[in-house]
Amino acid sequence: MEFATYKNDVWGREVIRGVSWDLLWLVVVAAFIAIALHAIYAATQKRAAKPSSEGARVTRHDTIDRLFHWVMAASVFALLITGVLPIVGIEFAWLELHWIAGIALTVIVLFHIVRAVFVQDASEMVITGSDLKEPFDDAKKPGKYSAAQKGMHAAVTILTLLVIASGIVMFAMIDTPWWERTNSLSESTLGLVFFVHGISTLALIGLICLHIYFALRPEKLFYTRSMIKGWISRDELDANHDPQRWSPDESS
Amino acid sequence: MASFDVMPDVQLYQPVELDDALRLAEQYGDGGWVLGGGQDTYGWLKDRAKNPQAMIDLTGVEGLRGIRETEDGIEIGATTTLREIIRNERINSDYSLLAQAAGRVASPQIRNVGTLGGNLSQDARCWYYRRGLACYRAGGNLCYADGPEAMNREHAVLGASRCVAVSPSDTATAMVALEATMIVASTTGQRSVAAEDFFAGPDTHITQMTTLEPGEILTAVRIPSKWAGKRFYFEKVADRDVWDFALVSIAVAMSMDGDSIAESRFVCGGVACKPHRLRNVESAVRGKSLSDENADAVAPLASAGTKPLNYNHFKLPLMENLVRRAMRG
Amino acid sequence: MNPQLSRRRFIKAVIASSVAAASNSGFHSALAQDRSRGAVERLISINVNGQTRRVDVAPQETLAHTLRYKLSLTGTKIGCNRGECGACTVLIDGITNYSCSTLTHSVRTRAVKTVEGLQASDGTLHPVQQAFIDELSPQCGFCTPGQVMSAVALLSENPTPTREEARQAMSGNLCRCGAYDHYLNGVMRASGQNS
Ligand SMILES: Cc1cc2nc3c(=O)[nH]c(=O)nc-3n(C[C@H](O)[C@H](O)[C@H](O)COP(=O)(O)OP(=O)(O)OC[C@H]3O[C@@H](n4cnc5c(N)ncnc54)[C@H](O)[C@@H]3O)c2cc1C
Ligand code: FES
Ligand code: FES
Repeated sequence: MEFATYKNDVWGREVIRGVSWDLLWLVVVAAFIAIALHAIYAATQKRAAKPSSEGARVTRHDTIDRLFHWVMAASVFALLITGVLPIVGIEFAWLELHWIAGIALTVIVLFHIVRAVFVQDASEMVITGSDLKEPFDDAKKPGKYSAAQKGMHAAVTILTLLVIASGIVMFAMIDTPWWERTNSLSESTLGLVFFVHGISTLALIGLICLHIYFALRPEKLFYTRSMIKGWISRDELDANHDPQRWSPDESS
Repeated sequence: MASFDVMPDVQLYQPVELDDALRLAEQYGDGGWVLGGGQDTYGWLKDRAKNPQAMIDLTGVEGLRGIRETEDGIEIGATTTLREIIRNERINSDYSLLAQAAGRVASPQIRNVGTLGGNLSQDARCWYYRRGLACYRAGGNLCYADGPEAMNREHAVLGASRCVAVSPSDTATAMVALEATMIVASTTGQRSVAAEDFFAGPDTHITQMTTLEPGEILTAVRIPSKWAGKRFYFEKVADRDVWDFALVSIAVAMSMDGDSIAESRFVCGGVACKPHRLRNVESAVRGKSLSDENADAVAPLASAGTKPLNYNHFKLPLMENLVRRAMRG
Repeated sequence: MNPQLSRRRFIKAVIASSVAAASNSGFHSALAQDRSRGAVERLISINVNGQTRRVDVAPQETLAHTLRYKLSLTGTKIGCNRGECGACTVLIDGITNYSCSTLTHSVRTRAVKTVEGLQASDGTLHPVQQAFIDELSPQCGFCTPGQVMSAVALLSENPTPTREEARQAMSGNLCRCGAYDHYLNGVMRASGQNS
């Protein structure tokens, strides 16, 4: 199977055209196999008693961050629907919706970067050496974010930045209310941009499948609740986190 | 890019039953190529710009040919040749708009074999695309006809989205003006679609000119009696009177109420990726009579909303003048 | 499905396979079922200038190619090979066609006439040919066979065309030498009208 598709440019030279969308099926199938394997594995493990969600509560996500998460999710889904459905053969006028959602994603990601750097404690998300040992050592508990969560965040960050950067270049190549397209890139560069946009989209699709799966797993559902309501219970905190490394405030 | 004198290796089927043709079309899918008269086909193949595995010749299917009466108008089989349409008495007396449009297609020899289905389903004539370049329309990621140095005198002034190719078909404008319905068959059944929705723009179907999907065959076109015998105007402006495609064409159907226009359809070819209805003109002329003053008054509306490219500004006054000429007494 | 239709298809298939057997054609690979749906044979008969000619034709072959390179009827010229010049014009069932843009397989049941088939058996030229000579219509002559065929088709349908009608009928034939008026003079003379 090929990762990229190629074409001849005006001079007859072979140049890259973009990602091979056959990979879409591969990614979806691979994600589902991974999910199935994990679900089987998890079912065979002895399940620890579920911590109670009753009692005292601590704040995990501020309202503004929750809002950010869901607005981003909405724009990503809008982008996936408008970007991928036409590729799999469902035709509609997608281009304008796609770039509008793209602008929304770009703005909100910029906001998040500014907030993470200047307001939040960005070190909470940085992957450290001890994180790498965490999955193999039952005695080790994470700070605010588990190694898996940090890994997911790092991957999504890189892919989203790639998709946004390539998307902005592609945006310059179409007519918009603000400018007329320029056709200013060489065909091989343009193909590379399309390839980056496509391959990072494919990787994001795979990761989003995994993300949704983990968000819905019973032992992790309280994280999803915290992304909606903001809090986790003291019990959940104690069961899953190291109070030395993360000591959140009581939730109001 | 090399040019070849001979046809490439490609299988040929000449089914005599529509069912067989449909099954072949389904079986080959993207690799199948439905054949009417082949006049829009052989150039693609000789240039190796399109490489189907099999051609499915429809002209042996009897039921697809001929002009029949229906309860509400007429039905023209998809493989009816343009020659037959031009010479048909019923069409000349009641739907002369179509006869005139068909009469301006290509050259006599092409009209002798070119079919109505092929003319309506024909592909874009943008030469960058025809050259075999991997543009948007060919599944690529750019439009060669819309760059700073691109030659786009023949291209779209309206409705472009990434691709700026125009609808080349002369009969398409007439069909939209006459409110025809296309009958489309596939192995899973039949659907009918209004002419206006049969043609597709690049915003939704950037690699197709019509909403025909692989495996589907246009079997017939039905023209309702609504516009039978009404007042028509057709004009096609091209560089040469033979062979050349329309720079701009206009097909107009008007039903008159005494001296004034009760209802009308104004359709331009050669300006957008599909036949372009001038709706603002249609509503402006309602209740007006045909006269030089009214013609001058509505003509400027024709080019409203256009967005010309580097070399096709001339199409705007052309559209206006064609409307003016259609409206003269 | 309509039983009558499928019977007809069956009969066609039988004919196709017996032809294949009779012709002993080893090169035809399509399955019998494929054939029943209209896959074409290679060894076919076509009627050219009143004669039935047996010829091996590839599925994608154009009539111009068959005429010139298989049947040695080189009177038919290939100019553009794209339906844009008319040099390859022949008559199929009396109607002008570009033979460069016609599949030979599509004329199996029809009658083809080329410029070679116009003169009488005693060698007398067709009136159009004679008139073109008398009017000095051709210049280099490359487009002439096509022009002749278009004029022949016109006059058999409309023996006394007006000059404008003739112009329309001849409009699908380019002349690189620009001898259009001379050809029109020839058409008018051939129709017995003074040019
Ligand atoms: C030199 C030249 C000049 C021309 N000038 C003009 C012009 O001025 N105006 C104009 O309108 N056209 C023009 N044409 C385009 C074209 O050749 C004619 O329009 C002709 O009518 C096409 O009909 P066809 O049956 O030969 O098409 P084909 O080549 O048989 O088919 C054309 C396309 O339609 C598809 N198709 C055909 N029939 C069906 C069907 N029943 N269902 C689904 N798909 C189908 C085919 O798969 C193919 O993609 C020109 C062509 C040439 C070569
Ligand atoms: S060679 Fe056939 S038209 Fe030119
Ligand atoms: S005589 Fe020379 S091309 Fe016509």
